[in-house]
Amino acid sequence: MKRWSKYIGKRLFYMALTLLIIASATFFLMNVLPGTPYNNQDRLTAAQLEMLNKKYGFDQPLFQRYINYLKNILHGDFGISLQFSDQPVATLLSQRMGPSIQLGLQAVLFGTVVGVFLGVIAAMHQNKFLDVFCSLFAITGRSVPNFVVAVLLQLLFAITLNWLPIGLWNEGFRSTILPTLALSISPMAESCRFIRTEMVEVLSSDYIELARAKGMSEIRIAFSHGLRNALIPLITVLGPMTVSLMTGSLVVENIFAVPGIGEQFTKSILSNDYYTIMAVTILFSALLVAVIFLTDILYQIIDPRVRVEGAK
Amino acid sequence: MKRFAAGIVFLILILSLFSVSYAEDNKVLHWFIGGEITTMDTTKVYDTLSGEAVFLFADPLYRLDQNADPQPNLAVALPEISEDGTVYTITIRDDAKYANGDPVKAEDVVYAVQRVFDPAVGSQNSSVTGIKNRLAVRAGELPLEELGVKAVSDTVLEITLEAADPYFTKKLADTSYSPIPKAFAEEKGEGYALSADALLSAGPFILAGWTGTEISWSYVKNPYYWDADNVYFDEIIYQVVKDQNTALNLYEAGQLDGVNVSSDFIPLYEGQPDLTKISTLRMTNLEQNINQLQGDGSYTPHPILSNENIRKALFYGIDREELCTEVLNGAAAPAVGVIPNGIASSPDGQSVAESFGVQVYFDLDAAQAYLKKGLEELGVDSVKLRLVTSDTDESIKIGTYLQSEIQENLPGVIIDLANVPSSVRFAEMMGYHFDLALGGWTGDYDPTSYPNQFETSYEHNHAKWVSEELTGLISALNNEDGNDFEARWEHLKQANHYLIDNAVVIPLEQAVNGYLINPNLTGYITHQLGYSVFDLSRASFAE
Repeated sequence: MKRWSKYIGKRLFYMALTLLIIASATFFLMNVLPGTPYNNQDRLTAAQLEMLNKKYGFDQPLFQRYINYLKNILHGDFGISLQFSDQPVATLLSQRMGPSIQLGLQAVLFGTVVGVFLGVIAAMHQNKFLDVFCSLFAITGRSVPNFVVAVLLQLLFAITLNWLPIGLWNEGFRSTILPTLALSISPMAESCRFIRTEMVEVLSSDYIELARAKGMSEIRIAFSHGLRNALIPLITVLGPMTVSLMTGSLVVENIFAVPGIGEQFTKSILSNDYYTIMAVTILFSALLVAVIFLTDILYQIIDPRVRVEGAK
Repeated sequence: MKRFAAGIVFLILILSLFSVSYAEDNKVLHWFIGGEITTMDTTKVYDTLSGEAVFLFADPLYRLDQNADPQPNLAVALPEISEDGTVYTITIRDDAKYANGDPVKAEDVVYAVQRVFDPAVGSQNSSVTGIKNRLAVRAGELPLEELGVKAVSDTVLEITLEAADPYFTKKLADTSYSPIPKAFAEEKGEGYALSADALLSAGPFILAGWTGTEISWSYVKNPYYWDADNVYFDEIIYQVVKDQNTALNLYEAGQLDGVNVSSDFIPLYEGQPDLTKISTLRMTNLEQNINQLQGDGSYTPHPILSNENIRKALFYGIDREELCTEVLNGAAAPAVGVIPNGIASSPDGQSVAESFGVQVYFDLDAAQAYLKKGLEELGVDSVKLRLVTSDTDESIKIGTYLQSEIQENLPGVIIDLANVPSSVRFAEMMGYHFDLALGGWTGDYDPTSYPNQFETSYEHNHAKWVSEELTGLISALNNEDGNDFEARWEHLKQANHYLIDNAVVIPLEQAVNGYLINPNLTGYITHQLGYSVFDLSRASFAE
């Protein structure tokens, strides 16, 4: 137990340090970006620019601003978005994260379940038609960009068949179905490919042979005995993939008119919206390091072969 | 396999249960907007998106009609103007009320205008011009009370200008001149207009359901509006749709009553009654850096573009007709001069093109002759110029066209194309050290802003063109011409011709916006002037 608390404490320290380094590097790099953070910069007079810089504190020395910014985020103040005329960045993030997180989680859940299922089926029918079909699906899913899938889904299910909304975020769960499907293609293909490879190995191991010798059905062998072991490596890729999907997709969100966070990061960089760049970077990084940490913990709990540092 | 097929059929049945049909509601308008709103504060508006968004709840002193003439709105009549043209006395309605039933007072308009120049508010608004002491107030050198706007009584307002301005009544149609109740705004403080709840307006509609960063919100009819009887819609729902395909699909499915159409899609709808094209005041120009800023802060003539013949070769060597029809699919009209058509009329009612003549055209022989002369003067066989454009679809298209057009028409001119983010392009231009840049200008009410871009002391004179003659003309336009419209128009014409004669800038095209609009929608007004293209306040569906 003591070893665990020491391990967790050390990891938390490194996580905080990582975030500090990311935040600091981002702060100084974004200040090198050309231009001003004001959208109307092409017609502001020098006097107006001076007045705005004073109001927003951009007239202070860079290092002073850096210290002020760090102080403010420690107090939970992420500043204001100049792109959204003085809206607190916290408001922007809280309003936009919800739809992205929902779509990301749904996509990972749906994509992984279907992907794992297809992967197992492919492994059980190694080198047969179903295997070739699933592998083809996995390769296609990895190769075709999700915006192409999004447009095709929209065309088929919304325009031709009129079953689901074309876009907009106003019909509850129905509005989430097509974007979820579009986003789920990637985790689906990834899980399918991963599980197939792992299962092929697992299904040829001794304990599976023993299960077969005992007369168990192939389906039971695959799903009850094989899958448990094959799933472990998937956890490693699933974490970062979940974060990546939860933090939104610029293209898919635009295609389905979803009020997500996906576009904000790119848009904030292009418009020098300093505080939004910082907040989104810190948020994404925090989510990523937290998920990596949880994955490591989970990995050690479910796989007895992995032990925390110092264990025998 | 059978089970798999059965599963698919089952899934289809389940999804079918979800499908709904969209009920038509005659009193609800579903409208579009191309992006999120930068501000809902009428005193901070500086772009077309926010300009449209605030238009429905704002109640400015005047509204422009279809001919861009100002008509009384919150004001009961056109302003009384002093003999020297600098003092405007405006009487406002005594029956105007806010959405909570409180009466609108003249001091509320005064407060709104003060906010535009209050350094603590930090407005990027640049459409409120001419008011006395505005620059000193913005710089914090004078108190807000010294701004040239005051309430004489509850219903009378007086605005004092620094110099007479023949376009000022039109400028009073800007939403910046909408009343804001001081007590309410001060109570909300920094949070004023950051959400629908933190906003109190007196216009035909009330903003609803907007909490700051949404991509969908609505406007509901204001029961206290002084002209509520003539407002047809109970609700107007705005939806941000950025993807052009999705927007068109939503329109065709009847879920939106209007959408914008980019130049790529205009040919698909050409000839259909839904397609509406609206000319804008957005000029796209090929800008040249004629005097370059050096590291030591001095300016030196550009090694190539300071040569007038080279500039003229570029000026006459571009086929703008082809650019507008073939490249931009009709979403633009060839530039007629530095000043676009539609921004103003001559004293005898002629358009800019009619009055000034078309000064910009394609003349290959002249262009090649200018090039030959220019190269001889420079003593070289060829010149290489870097053209910087933004990385938007349209800019890339125009940039690529210019590169091929110039290189083909003007052998010896090599164009290096650089597509960069807008902020990078702008930073290069403001660094006054570039060759060519795809830039532009969108005016609002007064045509002077177009030649003013090249005035010697102006910060955004990217060319760094230095000219006493132009400075004199701009000064006359902004000062002594205020009460002599004929002299003003003549000086405007001279400024336009001066910039063309010297090829200081190469005007390319005047943008045309394409829209698909439900043919049943009537009574709306479209604008070239100001920040809002559509005035939907009195729109209705045909019975």
